Amino acid sequence: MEIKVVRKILEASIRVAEANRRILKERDIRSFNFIGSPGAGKTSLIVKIIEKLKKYYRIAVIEGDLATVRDAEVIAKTNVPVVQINTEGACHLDANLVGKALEELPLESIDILFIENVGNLVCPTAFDLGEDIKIGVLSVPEGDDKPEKYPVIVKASKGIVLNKIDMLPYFKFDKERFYSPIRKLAPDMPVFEVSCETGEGIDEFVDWIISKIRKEEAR
Amino acid sequence: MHEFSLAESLLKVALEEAEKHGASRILRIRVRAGKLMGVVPELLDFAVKSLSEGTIAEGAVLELEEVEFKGHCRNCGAHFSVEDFWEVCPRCGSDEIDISGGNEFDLIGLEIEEGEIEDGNKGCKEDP
Ligand SMILES: [Zn+2]
Repeated sequence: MEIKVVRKILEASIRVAEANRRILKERDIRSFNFIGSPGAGKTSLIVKIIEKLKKYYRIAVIEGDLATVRDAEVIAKTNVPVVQINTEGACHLDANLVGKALEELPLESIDILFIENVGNLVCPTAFDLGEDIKIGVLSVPEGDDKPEKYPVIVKASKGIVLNKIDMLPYFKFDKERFYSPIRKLAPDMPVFEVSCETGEGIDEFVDWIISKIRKEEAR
Repeated sequence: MHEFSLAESLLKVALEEAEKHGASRILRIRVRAGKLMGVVPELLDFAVKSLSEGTIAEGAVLELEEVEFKGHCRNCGAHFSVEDFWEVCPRCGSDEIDISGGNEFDLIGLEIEEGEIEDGNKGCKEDP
């Protein structure tokens, strides 16, 4: 017998993501989900912006990792609350895991939540966690062809960071090749060239984060 | 490699639907996936095979239908379907196209064998 149905397979996790979103909205917490390959510098970037923002905002971090706690330890040094999620091999965070992590955080005293997704450029984009904004983190050593090869991250992100620009002199990196697919897919995409090593560009990126928080407040 | 978690959700939904219809076996599972889901068909197939062992979906054939993106030309206003991100408008050749869709991941059909002890009243416990 043939049964015709149309059911969203991820409906359960979509509901959990919506519940997360509600929990965060009710407490006026703005959330940012950082997606990028292993080694793109997501943790260093989050540490840099925490240093700039923690005077003005109460920040917490959810740290997704395949198996280790190393990144969570780095974040913990900034003295903001951090919850580590080990995905035990899964290549992405999902809404369920994030929901559980939220239970571990002092939500009543948080303004901004940073979520560092598992190091992977593809899979995390398919899963809504309930966050406000996805940020794609790419880096110079990965090559100028990342946006062309992984257009999905460009489509999913509201902002893109090109990290490790202090390494531009050492790599054959054609900025035109990097930018042209982004401009084609998302002409208004903000792209931030930064170096967590020298601090270059971090202020512009932090200003953008703040503008996103303010914009939410204005609603 | 997120196919295992996708397959897990897929099987859960398929088994629910099969139970609603009093199935004793699932023979075929039809799925529609948008390109943003980044599904590798062989991996999803493998994941469904592995995870369905010991359930009534064991041995079921997975039929995966890929949904293309929808394109809209900012230059001439044409609507068309898009296979990959770098296409140009088929009408005017402009590369200024907006791409949407791709988030679909839907169960669209099941082929089942009905159970022998089907009473026709499954899921209607309140029936007099
Ligand atoms: Zn056109």
